[in-house]
This record gives sequence, structure tokens and C-alpha cells, in this order.
Amino acid sequence: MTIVNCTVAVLLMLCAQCMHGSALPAVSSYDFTAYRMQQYNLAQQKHGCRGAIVVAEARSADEPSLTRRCVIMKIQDFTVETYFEALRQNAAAVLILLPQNISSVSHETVKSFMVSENEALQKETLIPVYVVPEDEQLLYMYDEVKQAAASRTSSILVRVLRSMVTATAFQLLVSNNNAIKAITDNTIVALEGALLGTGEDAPTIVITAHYDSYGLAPWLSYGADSNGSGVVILLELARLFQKLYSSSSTRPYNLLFSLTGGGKYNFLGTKRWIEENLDHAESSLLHDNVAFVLCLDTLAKGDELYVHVSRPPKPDTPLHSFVQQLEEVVFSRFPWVTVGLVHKKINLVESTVAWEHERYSLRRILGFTLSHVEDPKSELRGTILDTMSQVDFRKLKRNAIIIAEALARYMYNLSDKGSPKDIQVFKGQLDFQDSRMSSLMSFLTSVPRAAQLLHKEPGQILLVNSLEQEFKHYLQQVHRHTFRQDKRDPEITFFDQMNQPIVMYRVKPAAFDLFLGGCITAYLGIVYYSIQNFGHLYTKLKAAVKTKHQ
Amino acid sequence: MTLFHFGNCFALAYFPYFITYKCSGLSEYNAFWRCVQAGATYLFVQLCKMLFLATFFPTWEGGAGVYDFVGEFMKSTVDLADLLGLHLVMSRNAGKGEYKIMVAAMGWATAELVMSRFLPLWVGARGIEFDWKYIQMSFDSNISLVHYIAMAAVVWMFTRYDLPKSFRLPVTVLLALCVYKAFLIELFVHIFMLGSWTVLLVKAVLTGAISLCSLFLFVTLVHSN
Repeated sequence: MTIVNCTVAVLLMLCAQCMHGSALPAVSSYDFTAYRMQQYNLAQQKHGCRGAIVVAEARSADEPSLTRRCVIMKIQDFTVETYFEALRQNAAAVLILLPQNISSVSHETVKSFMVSENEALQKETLIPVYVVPEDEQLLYMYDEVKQAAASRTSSILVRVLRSMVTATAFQLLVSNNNAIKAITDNTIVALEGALLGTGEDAPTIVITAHYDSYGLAPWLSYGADSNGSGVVILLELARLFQKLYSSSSTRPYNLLFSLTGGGKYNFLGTKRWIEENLDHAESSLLHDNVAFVLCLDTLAKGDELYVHVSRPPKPDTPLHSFVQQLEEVVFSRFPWVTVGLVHKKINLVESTVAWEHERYSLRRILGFTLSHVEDPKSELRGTILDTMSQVDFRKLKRNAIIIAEALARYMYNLSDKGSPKDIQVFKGQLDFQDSRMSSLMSFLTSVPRAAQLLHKEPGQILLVNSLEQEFKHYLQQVHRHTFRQDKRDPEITFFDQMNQPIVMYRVKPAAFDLFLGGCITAYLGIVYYSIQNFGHLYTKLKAAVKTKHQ
Repeated sequence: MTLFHFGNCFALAYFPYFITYKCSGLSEYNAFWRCVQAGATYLFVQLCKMLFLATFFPTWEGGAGVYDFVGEFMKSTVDLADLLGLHLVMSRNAGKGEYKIMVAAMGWATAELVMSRFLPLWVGARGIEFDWKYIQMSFDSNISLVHYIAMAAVVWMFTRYDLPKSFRLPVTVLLALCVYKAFLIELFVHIFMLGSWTVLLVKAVLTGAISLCSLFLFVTLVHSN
């Protein structure tokens, strides 16, 4: 018995030693995690990609035939044409390599990728689409399949030789064979906090932003501009106005701050939060005397600032005078910035809600959205390329200053009292802090904030908790509302397997085995011949030794 | 990659052993069981070596990439036990010198082949992925067959009573080379950062040189008087 054990031990150890001894730098199989494209149902309407399983050979997008192959693309290859060509040919999967450093990619590439990404997300598909950050091995695979596609046009001899000897193919395999399961127990969290004004019936200004992000793959949607920028500005406004509100004489308005989830899905979190406040709460600041609702959305780029409204503001309304203040601030301090008023009627037939203020307008609360984006369907509002490196902090700060100054001028009626045109409220002690804004932004973009992930991944839960702590630090009456879905009729359904382990195998064509077999047979023939004739060599050597000795 | 690939590797690794066994005339001597005994001795010696290594040589805990020169040297020194084992096998067999050497070397090398090469081939070469390392491993097994034949010959010469004084030095040098060959090659790899194919070539050249030298010495010793 012991001998058997020992033998096994010897065997195992020798094996391990042998394996270890011959480890090669280039790997023949490589595991990586790829992130699957969005999949969700919005009120029974299916969106995104409904496939997850991949067992296919890798092909470059340049090849003419892609049927039942996994198409490998870099972001410069990913265009509307190549993507829909792959879908049309029934490719087994699409794998998009995302560069680690997006700032090294040319501006046109980024732009064209975002447009194609937006197009791709509009269409539902059964073909699995994955996005994966580039690394050495994946780039090596990309180069190999690209070369294979390039040698397609060379002479027949080269092609035959290539297919037999030098060709390396790659097999991609998703080892998880489980069916995709729907997740209906997801929750949406909305945070609210207030700075209370003095006086019995002080009017309320609501400042709100959504904090979730959206993109081709939820696990790669960091959403720095949309809508990390809105959250950063909102938190800075909370900090500054808390300082202003330290004395009771400077509190003309109630300021109600709210951060909502589900913003990328028709502002579901906002909808539920308004319902909660208006229909269920005994007393809420939303109930009466709301001056206006200021929604912050996508504010970290561009030299334009658009005020989106659902009906043109009438003169002498709070909204009208705020917009006037905004224009004045821009005119006196940042004349190169253009302010535009965009009026878009709410279309009740359409299923999508374009801007957050429309949720308030539906409940007859006057509101508007500030954004540098003019078109609500813009690709900038949901892309995986929207990372921290794409944020222009000077413009973010400038927008924050414009909003804060306009708000202060409106609240304290500064322009009426004959004060100078370029009065600055937020300076010195009340200045915006660059370091705080950039650290808030890097904190918000430390984890992807897609709505699928926010309620269950530890990093994301921590993020929401930290936002709540931030609210508690500066605001009063902080509440955290957690909205659950109706199990039978969920408004939004997410799906699992959004991050998937994939194995990449380096394989050779069958012809290569035959070729190798031939080579080995020839080698063995030589070995046989030389051992057969070893006797001759031995005799000759013997004779040589004898003659030398004599 | 496929079963075919496994077949290729298997043929490359095992057929030279088979050819050697058949062509060297061992099959005519009914030497099969003697080879098996030699193989059993191999197992026993490896076990002893392992116990010794595990007891007296703690695992190297230096940083990765740092080469533990002394430790590796000491570990190679333990391979002296192989020489003792080969001597043990040869001393228990009666017969001509060539016969003894071939039986000991064949049994020893085959045992090593079965113990250390079969499982990795079976597990690795049949997988989906393709890797040159299984072909390299098979070539390596051919080299180690030559290595063990040469080593057995050197041991046999060393243990002869009638070894002339002038032979003492070259035989000892060859013995040392046989034992420290693996160590030397590892050192080469570490210093020159060799690729896996180059390592194989270096191994083949070194083994070829050692075996030619020992062949020459053997012929001189046996047939000079």
C-alpha cells in the first residue's frame, strides 16, 4: 500500500516538475473576463443582446465570410456597417477590444465608435456581443487573425503552406453553459436631503441629478460626463449652499437636493421618488410652492449650455427669471459660452422620457434640465468611452460656477439691488474646490455605475452608501428611498451573466496534424536507420582503436 | 489539440525506445524483466531522493527571478544517487558490459519516460489548445534516452577494477558532467535567457558530446587489450 502511495507521489511530483520546467512565455490557452452587452426589458419591450454562449473560431472583421465565427474588432473597426454585416451574416459572436487608455485614440475614432455604439444599442439581437479591455494576449490574437485576413489575397502556394504549417487559429469558448436568467428583484435607490429656508411658507427649489450610467456593456459604463458631472456639481452646490445657509438671514428658499437611480431607464427612480413624495408622504417640500426643479445632466464638456424645457417659460415666472440670471452670469463672466433654450414638448405616445424634468412636468411641477447636450438621444449620454480621462475639469468647474452664481443671484435678487453686473458670490471661502471636484469624480468613476450593478455589487453598494454619507454631512432631513419592483409586472427587468469568463485557445488546423505526422515519421525513419547502422560505426571505431594500439 | 496530436507526440516520444530495444538485441536476451527491475530501482531511488530533498532542502523563498545558485547546485548533487542506483542495477545483472549497460539504461530511461512524460502528454496534448511544448517534451525524452545510456556506460567504466590510471580523470569528469548537466543547462538558460527550442538544441548538443566521449572511452577500454 505504501509503495503504491509513494509511486503515486513520485508520479505526481515528476509531472509537476516536468510541467513547470517547460512553461512557455507564449500561452496556448488564456482566460479573460469579457463584459456582455446590455440586456434589459423595459415594460415588456426587449432591448440589447439576448445571447451569451460562444463556442467559435476568431475571425477578423475584414474577412468576407463571418458566419458562425466570432468577429474580433478593435474600436476603430467597430462601425455601423461592420457590426450590422456581422449580424446579417449570423456571426457566432462579436468581441470588441477596448483600449486601456482612451485618450490615446483619435477623436474621430471615438466619435464614430460612440455613434455606432448608440446604433447597436437601438437594435435587439440574439448574437452575443462582448466588450473586453485590451491586453497583450488579446492584441496578439487580433494581429494574428488580421494577418490571416490579409494573406487571403496572396498566391495559392503561400495559402496552402500557410494553412498547413504556420497558421494559428483561435478558439473562443464561454465555459458557462447556463441559460440567461432574468433579475427582477433589483432595487432603485433615491437619496434626498434638504437645506431649509426661514419663514413659514418659503418656496422650494429642487436640485436633482441621476447617478447611474449606461453604455454598450454595463460593466464598462463609468459614465464620467453622463452623469458623474451632474452628481459632482450637485454635491458641490450642497456644500456651498450649506455654508451660505449657516446664518438664518440668508435662507430665502428651501433647497431640496435629490440623487436618483434608474435615470438611464426613463428616469424610473425620479418617477418613483416623485410618487413617494406627492402621493404617500404626509408632508413633503414637493407638495406646494415649488419655484422650479433644476435637473443637472451631462455638464463636463463643451462651450454650450442648453436649458431644456417642456414648454417655453412665461415672463415673470421663477423659471424665466432664473434663465435670465443664467444668461447674465454667462454674459458678464464667460462670454464665449453660448446659452440656448431648447423646447421639446412631451410626447405621451412615445415610450421614452428624454429628460429628467419631463417626469416633473408630467406631475405639473415646473422644471428644466441643464446640459451641454442638445439632442436628448445624443450618443454622449450613454457610452463606454465616457471615462474620467474624457472629462474637462475646467469646463466642469465653469459650468458649476455658472449654475451656482445664477442660483444665488436668483435666490437673493442680486440684480435688482443695483449691484454690479459681475458680482461674484462664490469666491474666497465659498470658492469651488478643484481638488474636491476631481476626487469626487474619480470616486464616482472608480466603479461602473450601471443600474444592473448598483444594488448587488459590493463596490457599487459602497458608492451609494458614501453618497448618502456625503448628503448627511451637508444636508438635513436626509432620506434614502429604496424602491422595489412589482414582482409580477416589473417596470424593468435586468439579466445576469453580464461578466463572463472566456477561454481563448490557440489551435492549429487539422492539416497541420497531418504535416506534423509526416515529419515525425521521417524523423523516426532516420532514427531507425541510424540505430540499425550503429554496428558499423562501432566496428569502425573498434578497428581504429586496435590499429592505434598496435 | 486532438487525439491525432497526442498520437504524434506519443510516437515521437516512445518509438525511439522501442526501436532501440528491438535493434540493440536486448529482446533476444529476454531482458524484459531485467529492464522492469531497473525501472523499479529507478522509482525507489527517486523516492529516496525526494525524501532527502524534502527533509534537508527547505523551499527557496527568495524573490521571483532570483536564481538560487548554491541551492540548485546542492540539489543537483543529490542526483549522485542516480549513479548509485545505476550501479546497483548493473551489479545485480551478470553478463557482458554492453548488455549490463543497455539493460540498466533502458529500464531507467523507460521508467522515467512513463513516470514523467506520459501523464502530461495525456492531459495536455489532447486538449483543444495547441502548444509546441508537447513536441518539445517528446524530443527531450529522446535526448534523455541517449543521456542515460551514456551515463550507464560511464558508471560501468568507473566501477571497473581494471580501469587504467590514465582513464581515471576523463571518466570522473564525464561522471560529473552527467550529474550536473541539468544544472549547467539551467544556468545557461538563466544567464542567456534562452528560448525553449534553443534549450532543446543546447541539451541535444551537450548530450551528444558527452555520449560520443563516453563511446570513445568505452571502445578504447574494452577493445584495447
